Amino acid sequence: MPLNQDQILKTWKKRQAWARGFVIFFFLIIILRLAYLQIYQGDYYALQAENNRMEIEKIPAPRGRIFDRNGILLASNRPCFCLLLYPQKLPRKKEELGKYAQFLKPVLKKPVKEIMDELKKTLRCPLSPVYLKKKLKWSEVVYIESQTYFFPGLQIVFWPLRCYPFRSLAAHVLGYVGPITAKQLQSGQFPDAEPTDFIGQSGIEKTYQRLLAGKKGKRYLEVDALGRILKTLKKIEPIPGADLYLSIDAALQKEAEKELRGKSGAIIALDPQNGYVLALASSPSFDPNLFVKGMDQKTWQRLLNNLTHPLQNRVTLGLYPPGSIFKIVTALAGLQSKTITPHTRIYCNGGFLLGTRLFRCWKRNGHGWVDLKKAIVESCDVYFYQLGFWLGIKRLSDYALKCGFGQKTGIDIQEKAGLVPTPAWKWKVYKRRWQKGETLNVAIGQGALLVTPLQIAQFFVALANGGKIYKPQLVLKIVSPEGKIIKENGPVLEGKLPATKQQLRLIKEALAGVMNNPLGTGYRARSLRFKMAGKTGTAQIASLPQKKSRNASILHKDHAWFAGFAPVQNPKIVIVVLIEHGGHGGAVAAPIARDLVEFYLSKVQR
Amino acid sequence: MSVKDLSWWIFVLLIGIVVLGLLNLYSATCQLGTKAILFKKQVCWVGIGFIALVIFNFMDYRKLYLYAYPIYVVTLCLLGMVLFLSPKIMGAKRWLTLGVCTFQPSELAKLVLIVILSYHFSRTETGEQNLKSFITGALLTLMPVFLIILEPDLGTALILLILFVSLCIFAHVNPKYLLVCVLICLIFSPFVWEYGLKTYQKARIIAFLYPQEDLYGVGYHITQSKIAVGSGRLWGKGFLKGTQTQLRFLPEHYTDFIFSVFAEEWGFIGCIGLLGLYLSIILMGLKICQKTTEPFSYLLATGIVIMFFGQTVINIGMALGLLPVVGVPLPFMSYGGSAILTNFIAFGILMKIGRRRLMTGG
Repeated sequence: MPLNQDQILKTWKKRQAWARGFVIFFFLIIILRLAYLQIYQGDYYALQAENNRMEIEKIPAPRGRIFDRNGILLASNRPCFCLLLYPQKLPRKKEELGKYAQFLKPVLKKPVKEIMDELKKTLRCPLSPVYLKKKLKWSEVVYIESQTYFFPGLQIVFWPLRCYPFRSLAAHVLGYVGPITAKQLQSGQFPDAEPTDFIGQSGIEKTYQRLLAGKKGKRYLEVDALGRILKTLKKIEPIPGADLYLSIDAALQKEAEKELRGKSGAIIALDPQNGYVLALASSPSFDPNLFVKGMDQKTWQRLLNNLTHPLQNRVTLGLYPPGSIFKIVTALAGLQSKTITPHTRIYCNGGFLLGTRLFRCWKRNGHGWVDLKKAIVESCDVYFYQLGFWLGIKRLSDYALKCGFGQKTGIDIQEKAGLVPTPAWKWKVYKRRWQKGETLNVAIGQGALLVTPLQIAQFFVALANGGKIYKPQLVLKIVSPEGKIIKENGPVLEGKLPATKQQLRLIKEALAGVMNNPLGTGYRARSLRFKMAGKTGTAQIASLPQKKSRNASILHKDHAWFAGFAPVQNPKIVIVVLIEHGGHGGAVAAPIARDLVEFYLSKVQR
Repeated sequence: MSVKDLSWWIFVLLIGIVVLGLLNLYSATCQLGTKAILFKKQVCWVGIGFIALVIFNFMDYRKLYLYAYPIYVVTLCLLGMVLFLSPKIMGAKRWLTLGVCTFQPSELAKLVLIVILSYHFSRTETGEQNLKSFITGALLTLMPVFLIILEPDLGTALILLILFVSLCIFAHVNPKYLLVCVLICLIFSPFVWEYGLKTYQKARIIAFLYPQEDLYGVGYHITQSKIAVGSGRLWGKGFLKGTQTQLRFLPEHYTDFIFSVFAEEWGFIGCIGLLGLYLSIILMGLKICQKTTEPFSYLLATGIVIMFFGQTVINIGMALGLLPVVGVPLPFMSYGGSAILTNFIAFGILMKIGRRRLMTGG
């Protein structure tokens, strides 16, 4: 520090004297202003605060609509009269509250005592309005509206509510909107939300919540001390949400759901040239309108605890062993690693002996000498046991991962990753060593291996189009309320199948053989109008002796799989069908796939 | 009153403000349901603040002289990190997340600017600041100001500029330089208005100038605040009984408009009491400045008092409709951990300066 600081300080401090006066001056101004506001104008402002309160009312924005690829409306809005209760405006006295209950009795159609309890419950959170009833009839509107002056806590609003005109059609794609939960309100993800709002709780409605929701409008109201509206001062119109165009083809979707009626299962159809989803059906299904209208506890519990899980989207969240369909992965892994050539032959005598354990082929008498093509066409288990044995679990699981199994596909809605088992996984979870026999099971798509129908479909898209792995997408484009296109989704290439052109051509021929060779497992379900290719699968649930399984209960029956595409040259549709506990893939799943393919292709060609 | 007593008196008055502030914040947040946690958070921050005050009260503040530049650089880095790392909350990036709590480096920047400018101006040989020294000081100020405007946080940037100008005056910068600066600013202000300010900031200034034009937009804040203050009248509506606050007519009532909550519930009498506390602290602070023995501590103490005074007057003036709405917290009353902590540290330093005088000079 400089030496002559005393002198410097002396000159600097001269300005200090000003500071004191300056400070006192400003405080004086503040005190004068306070006196002016609080004492001189105090009565005026007190009156303003008491009688002339301003209130901001939010006007809900119509939610964006959802269309299919041809512009068929799948989700829209219907304005409805709803009865809202503002608990902070309820009287605290019991008799007064009783008047409310008495008044509401004919509308809510409940005993007065129940209504009283309900009203008292709302007083715990006085600032969050509650829906008393949605979709009021006109007579009820008139009844309430005529008396609102005496019941300021009640308000009738004319709000757009979500409606799904085709009810359960594509319910698992669309998802549903439901009242926002207390947890979601607190999470901060919905800064603009009110307790009365509906938000997307699953499916597309959830994923695109932000775009669909739009922006609320505001109405500035002059309200008296009891909350009665005196007049509207200013109105800001809401901005409706953006419209979505899905890649779904509503007609095909409807047909797919018809095929699944009365069964548990899943169907997914993709466009092999770009990965767009043409149809995505899961059965049993549900009616999303129920969530908008609000259901009673009983209905909700029934939906939630139903053993067949109607709310679960089996296409993306259902995990199943892929069964024989997985043999294609094993085959490609064998070719790619040069473990086998297309001409390698293996003798099938109906079983494969590993140590002392016999792994059976589904055909008790065996297939005789089998090469790769025949092994796929006739789905010979022994061939793939041998191939799996040669490959080992490391190469097999690595290859499966490269084909997209064991990871999420990236579709727009909630999905699961599935599981490709490895020795490391088994050690981590079960603290047990990997057994050689497990590799054989994985090679034919059994064991711990788990996939979603969507992953199978994504893999078959790549088989059909020459190796391109596309991200499955549900949304074609997003359109603003004024009709301007906000975003147009192009195909997204995720990677390439690790296989050469020749290898893929060979697999394609084999898959065509499954459907068209008289010995093929899908021959009986072949299409006479279009040349199809595909693979059947029968996924075992529990390893029961074969004879017993015929009488076994339905829950132990095998899952029936089919995955395929058509036409073989220049494929236009990839389809995967899964019927839970359906039995044989060739007998149950393949005919459904054929019907849908014929439906779709004849429609496209027309 | 000896100088040592001054420090103790400031401490006592400070406790008074803090207690009133917590009571008031409880009233402002108890109806909010999900936000009632704000009160608990504030209590924690006050606890941390007191610890910080004690620490800085026993630390030698002249260490700040030695480490002025490193501290300054670290703060600049923190401000830069805010721009890149922090999520947007209500349209602005102001917070850094540290585990469970968030921190607002721009609050700390106020105190750090005082330290760096005190260091810089106290190195003069003559007692007059030459042009070079003035320009260096201006650059030291403009760097954090620029980063904070990018956040954007107009209120804090404004406080930093006020601190710079007043420290220039106290450190004997030639008034001509300042005048030239003001002229340049005036010339460029139309351009800043056109290109520099965000729409909401322009709206606030327009709403301040013509509140009756925009009664339901930004003017809504000012109108509701005035109704809240005015309806408190002489004796106030009573603790937890302010209708403007409890029925949520008053926006931002636990940060920018915290004073309106107090005025509504405690009335003119309560406000006079609170203002008395603030004024006494400021005048005692000025006395401490008067009795410092070297330029660095003189400027440091002065800067702290100016920061306290400036924020108090701007916040209250805004709540009363005397000044446009800019986000400046009321010291020790508004919700906000970083502001509370910074203010406690500042007073720890001020009290230390007050006590040091006694130890060395007698």
